[in-house]
Amino acid sequence: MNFEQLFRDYWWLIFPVGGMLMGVFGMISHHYHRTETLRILKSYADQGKEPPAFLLDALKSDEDRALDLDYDRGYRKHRRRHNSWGGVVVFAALAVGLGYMGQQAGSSPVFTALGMAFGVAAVALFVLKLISAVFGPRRRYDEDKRRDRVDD
Amino acid sequence: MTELFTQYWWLIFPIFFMVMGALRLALRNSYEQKKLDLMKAYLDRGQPVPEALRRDNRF
Repeated sequence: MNFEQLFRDYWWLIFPVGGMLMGVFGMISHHYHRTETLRILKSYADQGKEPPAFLLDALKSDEDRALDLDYDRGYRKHRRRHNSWGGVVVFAALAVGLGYMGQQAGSSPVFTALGMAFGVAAVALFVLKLISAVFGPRRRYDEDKRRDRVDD
Repeated sequence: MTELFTQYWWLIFPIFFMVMGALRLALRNSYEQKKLDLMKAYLDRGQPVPEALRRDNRF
């Protein structure tokens, strides 16, 4: 088996591996950002000055961002805040596209299988979104202004 | 070599997640260390520690 054959068989690995690398990069740059904020705060503290409020805010909103991105699965409930219908649309589109590919003559059955998998995922996501839209918490009127959320 | 890859390509995923977990631990450790340093700087000067630092800034 030569390299071309290997690429032909495993080209799709580019996407998961690329996603994983992006995750690592995001983690490192997130860390860098937070550490730099701490460093600046430290230089204020060393001079005995009161740090600007937005620097402290940067730490807080960082925490919120971490929760929103679901770095820690224990905080799953925080994701509800950002529930959008985009995921349903993307999954449904993938299901339709892959299903269509699978219906073409001479195509691999993998496409049909993937289309069905994405279809099931889209339907499940749709039902979950529907449930959370009907029974979930309402959006607060001042949500955009609340930066320091610890209680909910 | 390619034979090995075709049989064990899926090992990419578990190994990657192990590496990522270790990296996350290391980054978190370094962050907490710096945060403690900063808290110590406040305490050494007799100033109150800001509320934002008291919170657990999780990854």
